[in-house]
Amino acid sequence: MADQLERYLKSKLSDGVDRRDFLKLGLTATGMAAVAACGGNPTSGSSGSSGPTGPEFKVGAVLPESGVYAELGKSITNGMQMYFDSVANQAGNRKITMVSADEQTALASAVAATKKVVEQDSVDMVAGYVSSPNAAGNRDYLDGQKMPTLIANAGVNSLSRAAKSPFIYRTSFSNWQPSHPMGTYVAEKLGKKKIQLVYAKYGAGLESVAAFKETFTAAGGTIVGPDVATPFPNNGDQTPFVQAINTGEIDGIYCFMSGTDAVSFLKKAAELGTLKKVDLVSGSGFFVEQDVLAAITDAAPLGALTGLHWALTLDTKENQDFVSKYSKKFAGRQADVFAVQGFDTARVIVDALNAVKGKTDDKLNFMKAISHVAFQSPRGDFKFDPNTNNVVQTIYIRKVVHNSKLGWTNQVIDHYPGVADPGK
Amino acid sequence: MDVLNLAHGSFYMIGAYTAYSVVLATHSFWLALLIAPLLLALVGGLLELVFFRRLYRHGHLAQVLLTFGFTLVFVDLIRSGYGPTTRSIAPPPSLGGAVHFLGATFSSYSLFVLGVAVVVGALLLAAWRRLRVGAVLRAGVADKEMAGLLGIDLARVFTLTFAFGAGLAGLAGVIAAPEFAIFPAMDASVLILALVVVVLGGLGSIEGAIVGAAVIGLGYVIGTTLFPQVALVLIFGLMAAVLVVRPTGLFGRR
Amino acid sequence: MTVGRGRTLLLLALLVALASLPLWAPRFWIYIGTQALIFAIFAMSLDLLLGYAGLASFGHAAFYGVGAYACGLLALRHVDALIPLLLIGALASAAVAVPIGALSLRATGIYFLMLTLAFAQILWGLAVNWTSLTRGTDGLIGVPRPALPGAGALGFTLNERGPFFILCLAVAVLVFLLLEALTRSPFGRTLEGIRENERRMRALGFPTFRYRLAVFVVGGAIAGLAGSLAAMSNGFATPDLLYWTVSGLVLVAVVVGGSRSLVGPVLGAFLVLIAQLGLSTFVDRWELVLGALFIAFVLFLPRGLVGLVRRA
Repeated sequence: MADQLERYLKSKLSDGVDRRDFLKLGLTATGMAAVAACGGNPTSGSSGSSGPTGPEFKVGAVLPESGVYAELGKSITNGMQMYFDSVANQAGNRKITMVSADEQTALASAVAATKKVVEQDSVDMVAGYVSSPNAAGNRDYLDGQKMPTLIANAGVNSLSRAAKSPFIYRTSFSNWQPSHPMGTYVAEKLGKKKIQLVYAKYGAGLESVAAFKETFTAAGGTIVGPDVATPFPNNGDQTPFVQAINTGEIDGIYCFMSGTDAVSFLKKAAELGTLKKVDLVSGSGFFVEQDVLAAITDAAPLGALTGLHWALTLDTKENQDFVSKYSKKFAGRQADVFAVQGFDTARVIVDALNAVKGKTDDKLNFMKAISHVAFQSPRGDFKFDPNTNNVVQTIYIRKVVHNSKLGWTNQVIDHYPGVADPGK
Repeated sequence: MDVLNLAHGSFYMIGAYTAYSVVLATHSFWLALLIAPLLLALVGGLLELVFFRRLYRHGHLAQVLLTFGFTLVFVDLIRSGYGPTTRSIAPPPSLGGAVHFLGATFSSYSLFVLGVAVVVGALLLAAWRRLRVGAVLRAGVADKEMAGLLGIDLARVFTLTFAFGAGLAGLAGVIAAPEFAIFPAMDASVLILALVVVVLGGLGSIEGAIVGAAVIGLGYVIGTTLFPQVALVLIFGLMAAVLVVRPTGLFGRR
Repeated sequence: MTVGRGRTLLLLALLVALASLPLWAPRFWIYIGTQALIFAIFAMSLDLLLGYAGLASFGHAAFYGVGAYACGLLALRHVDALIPLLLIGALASAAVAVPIGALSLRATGIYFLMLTLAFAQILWGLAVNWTSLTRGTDGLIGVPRPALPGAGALGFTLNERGPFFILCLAVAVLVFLLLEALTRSPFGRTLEGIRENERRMRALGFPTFRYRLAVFVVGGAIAGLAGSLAAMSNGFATPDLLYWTVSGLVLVAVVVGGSRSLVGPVLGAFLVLIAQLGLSTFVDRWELVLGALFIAFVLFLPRGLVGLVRRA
């Protein structure tokens, strides 16, 4: 329902409704959505004299609605929507409204989208960014504007290190995080010492395998060359890359790929039977996250071990609650890690708004409130690291299994709590 | 036909999505193989009748604009119909495994694709060279006016040819569906590769397209093995090299 | 004659509207206007090739991107003088255009189109893979804007949006006048002759290949100039700038506006860019809308926006 209203709103906006009308519509629409979220019907609950009286709080959601990352953008938007709805779209006596702009794929579009929400919509804060170059490319502008910003996906390490900003916090992960514990796990706990690296050659791939290598070689492991580095994105045949896996001489592979690349790679590997010839298939969790597994189904690499900050099967009350409500709210759509990131992003906004009682004029004070937000997320303990402005979180070691209820999924078999990016 | 159709990649994409829908509904890949080309031939024929027909006079640039517009429309329609999610279908069960010979491993499905390509190529070549329809088309490409004077109903021939081309793109989409991932941006990369193949081979020549495809395919595989990062760049380099030496492609007419 | 006067009036009206933009437009639209102006310079450079010389390049983004990288690399090495930063883009692109032109111009029609596309894609691959120079897919970010001598005394800098917009407008006007003069010069007439009938021009003793190469290099240099401005404006240079979709977009802008008019491509560039950056931030189904718009253009305005003006 909230979805439909959102769409209705946008269509109204594009029809040339003026700004005031838009805000009015926004208020009624979010009000109705809030009622819907509370499970009441519009006639019984909406007389609400208890609505917020402070000024509206606008969140600019810069997320891809078109292009190759549209799927991730959708999940993050859903997650945010779900949390905002669960608190009736208000916090700190302020009505929360999401204003979205299409991040698309190229940086030029993401820059335009950011400027649009900041300057045209006068948002109070910005949240989003799926792709790392887009987050990094908007960093200076957001920092210069002193615009409170939450990065909801883009993992580029530099945003927690050299390029961190007092106004930019990250609720998702740094590329270093999911892979760093995996090196220790593979070399020490599994005793696999000969690993070949397989990755899509772009920022996220390179930073992920570098983090793995760091702990893996420190624990006595050897990287067997040559690396299998695919172009990114790889729309061609994956066969030569699958066949470049040196099955005879290695204990296993460590892989970073995601989305469409992971789908075509795993399918080809399954057809050729390559991954069955190595003892261990390991990688960053994005390689076999729910979006990939749903697409490849029976071509999934049974038993593959990956590190990530969440798993669908994670057996906590918060997570099971989240997973079932998400699926109910979004017409059977299965929750994924991106939805969790969106959900937590919205929660950080709400908690911080409550902490400052809706007073966000003092930007530094608001950022301080953001930095203190800590809670039990569907992914486990969630808090920020004051050194990096990045989330500190548990990294789960997960195993690909076929579950009678959920189909192909990842089962948690171990975990590393409190993993924090090493930035200073 | 001398039409520059950027929406040809969209036909391929729609073919793949049709395959996805049909397989989801009926669990039969073979049925998809039948339905998608027919559907796409229908779409292509209609587009030719309604839009392209008016544009033959206006040259390539109007065609670029029109078909670029169609790629945007099609990608948006696909995304709103199927969502942005990456999808995939499994190869039919009989072709799901791997085959070993000559000391190498091949996926059976890849061999099947190879087989289909050879058969389609051979049929096309035979039709192009031996059948009346081939002769008519060759005449049409060579000299529209003369062919018209000879009493050939070129308008009908062009509609049917366009429909047939779209159907073939749809067939390619179905064949590609189990091999690659299915997603709303899949049209772009294949379009560029197809253009490269056709131009390298020489326009208006089926032989050229077949040889071009073989050259590009081999070049790509060798490229990915030797320099994986720049394989696509190598393909363009290959095409550039050929065109610099033979400015109308391998089999193109001077 | 009336056509000429109508065109001048249209141009003046456009110029006045644009020059006053920083005074009345919201900041966001000044930004979009800046991007559109830069794209308009880019589109004019393609119109020189396409409209006047009959060269349908599908790889023009190569020169735009090379210009942006050249300017970005120099600016990141602490060069902050405006003129050198503008010129480096033009020079670098011209240097790249010489070999590309020399090779591509051996072919004609679709073959030429595909050759230019191929070279642009090769350069794109270089931008992605030559990481030590270009920083790969991340691109050059944090490119600073140059200083304008004397501007500080007048109390503004190019970091502000209004002055930077005016700078882009000034460059656009200069490019327009330059191209206008060029296309009316004997050189321009010769080009049109070559476009209409190359064999005859050759028979008349014109070194046609050199003429075409010269115009290809000039077009590349101006695209590089636009690239320089783009790098300054956005503060980045990324491989996307060289990708074939950008070549497609600028080609579409020229055709939508109406080629062989210089004004048309400017209008087309504004339309396409505002649609792509502006529309996409406001409308959900912007791809559908844009696609339908292009189709409508082909069917109802085959001579582009300029055709509309001329008919009126």
